[in-house]
Amino acid sequence: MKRFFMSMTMLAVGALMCVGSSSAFAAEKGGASGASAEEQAKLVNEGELAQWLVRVLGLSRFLPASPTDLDCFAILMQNNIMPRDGWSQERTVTMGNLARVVVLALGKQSEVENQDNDESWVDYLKSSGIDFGTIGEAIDNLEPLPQPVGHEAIVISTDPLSKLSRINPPDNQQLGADLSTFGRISSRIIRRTDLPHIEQIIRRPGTAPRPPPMTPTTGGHPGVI
Amino acid sequence: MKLLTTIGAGILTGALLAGSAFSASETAQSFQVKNRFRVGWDNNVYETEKDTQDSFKIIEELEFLLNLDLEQTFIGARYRPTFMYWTDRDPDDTDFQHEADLVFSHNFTPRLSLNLKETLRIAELPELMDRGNLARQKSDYTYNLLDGVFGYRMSDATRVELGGRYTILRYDEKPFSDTDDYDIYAVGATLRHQLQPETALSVDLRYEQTEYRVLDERSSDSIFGGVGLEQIFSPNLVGSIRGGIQQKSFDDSHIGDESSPFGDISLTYLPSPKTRITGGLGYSLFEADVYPFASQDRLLSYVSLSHDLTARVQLFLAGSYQKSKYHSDQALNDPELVGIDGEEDVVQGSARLSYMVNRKNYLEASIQYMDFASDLSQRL
Repeated sequence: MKRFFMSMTMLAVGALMCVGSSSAFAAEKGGASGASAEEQAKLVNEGELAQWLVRVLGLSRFLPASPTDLDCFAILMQNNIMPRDGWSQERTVTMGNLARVVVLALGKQSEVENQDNDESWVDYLKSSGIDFGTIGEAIDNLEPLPQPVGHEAIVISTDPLSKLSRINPPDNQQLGADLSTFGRISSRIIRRTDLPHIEQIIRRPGTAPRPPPMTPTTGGHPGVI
Repeated sequence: MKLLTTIGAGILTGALLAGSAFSASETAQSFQVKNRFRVGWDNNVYETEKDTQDSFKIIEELEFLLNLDLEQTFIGARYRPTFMYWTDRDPDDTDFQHEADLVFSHNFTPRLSLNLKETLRIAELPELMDRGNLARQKSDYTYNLLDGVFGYRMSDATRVELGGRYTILRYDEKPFSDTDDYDIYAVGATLRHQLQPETALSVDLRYEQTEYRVLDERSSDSIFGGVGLEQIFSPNLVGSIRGGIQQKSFDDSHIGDESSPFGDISLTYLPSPKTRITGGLGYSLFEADVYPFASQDRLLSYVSLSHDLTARVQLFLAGSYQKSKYHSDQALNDPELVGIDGEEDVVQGSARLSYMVNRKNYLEASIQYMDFASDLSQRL
């Protein structure tokens, strides 16, 4: 069964690569022959920008191998990075929104004076010596976030290709708060009959030692009945 | 163990060599070393039902990050060794663990892409206590997860993905290695369609095989069929929902096949520029935590809130609830444990306050709470 699925997967991947290569070739050929300059210079949308940002900002490790645009939007929002009107998959990236997300990713938003005005975000970057004309140039100024937050301890996905296993190091966090993946894993259940035979290690507050019980005597010298 | 080391080292080396093969002029590189020192308090370090033991913990983390952003390729590597010390956790008051992550993304053409993700964890589960007795002590483990997805964009709105995943878990010592070492193989296909700018639909098919190395009776095969919806409800509210049917067949003929619905939902909401709220809930059949069971019905949920108190001070809150149901008909044929079934509940809460001294230095304080209840221990 496993071999069958693996073989089918390999075949499908191979076929996909062939189809992908031929389609791309056709698109490039068509572009060279008759597409307008506007079509060739495709504008970047916010979905593509979000995919780019999660990689550069070090957020990919919180996401599945191939995250959807919405996966990227959600984790960027959880890290307080979003355009003025929120994320939209198909909206073209504007200079104002690009400046805004770059400043937010740099953690410098408190230094922007008039935050409702897109120009203020652009001006702030220019005044900081960050000049950019393209998205690539803007992204080049970014580094992984110093304290990224994401789903580490608790992942509710039920998808076998993105679920979290039942095991995780104990210092993990859930969106910034310390939370453990509960590790109930045990090779056996302890039964009551086992209890006297296995090691007890919890240190409970000890009880004060009591004197040994007194032996009742009838009088005279101790030990003489 | 040797296999894991070889896989991890091979992938890391291969990715870095592939990255360096590209023209340096097209490369944006960044390398960071980060240091993080955390102090926290945990109310239940042994994860017990009763007689909980609290402890302060000190966590020292070093983190090495490398990003290579090439014209068509992105490589991100991360390695984080961590040292942990508990003031009141006998007999083992220290842990040393390793985390390594690699992300590789390449666009063959504008339509065809490959994403790989490698996750390696070498760590230790904390001691597990049951009614004052040690139920788990030596539990060093190595966990490796390799994910790969080919994505092909059929049109601006439609995308198809083929993915595979290989998971390995190995404990260093018996008896855990005998009962819990496993390999999990998963493959699947997804068709995703952007219905509207705010709405995406998907259908998916998955196959998963769980193979326990020694205790083969716990092994199983599962087929999943699911549909999903992703929605941008408003500029500050996004969410996704996915559900379907899972058919699970166990290798042990004593345990019958199991069909079950599965589903998960997740929401992220920003009520103000300073506040972020995220919540989620998922239900499915899952690998069993407790021997002799081969499976559990698991409900898992969480909610978290983060709030910027000032430009430098952030507050993080998180809570989670997990309910695990273990059925006697999904237990191995162990004559000493016939007819045992029950539920386990785990409630966790956590708060962390973080003060940013500067972009590279933070002061933090945290508290962590856990409450655990089990029918299984009560019935034995």
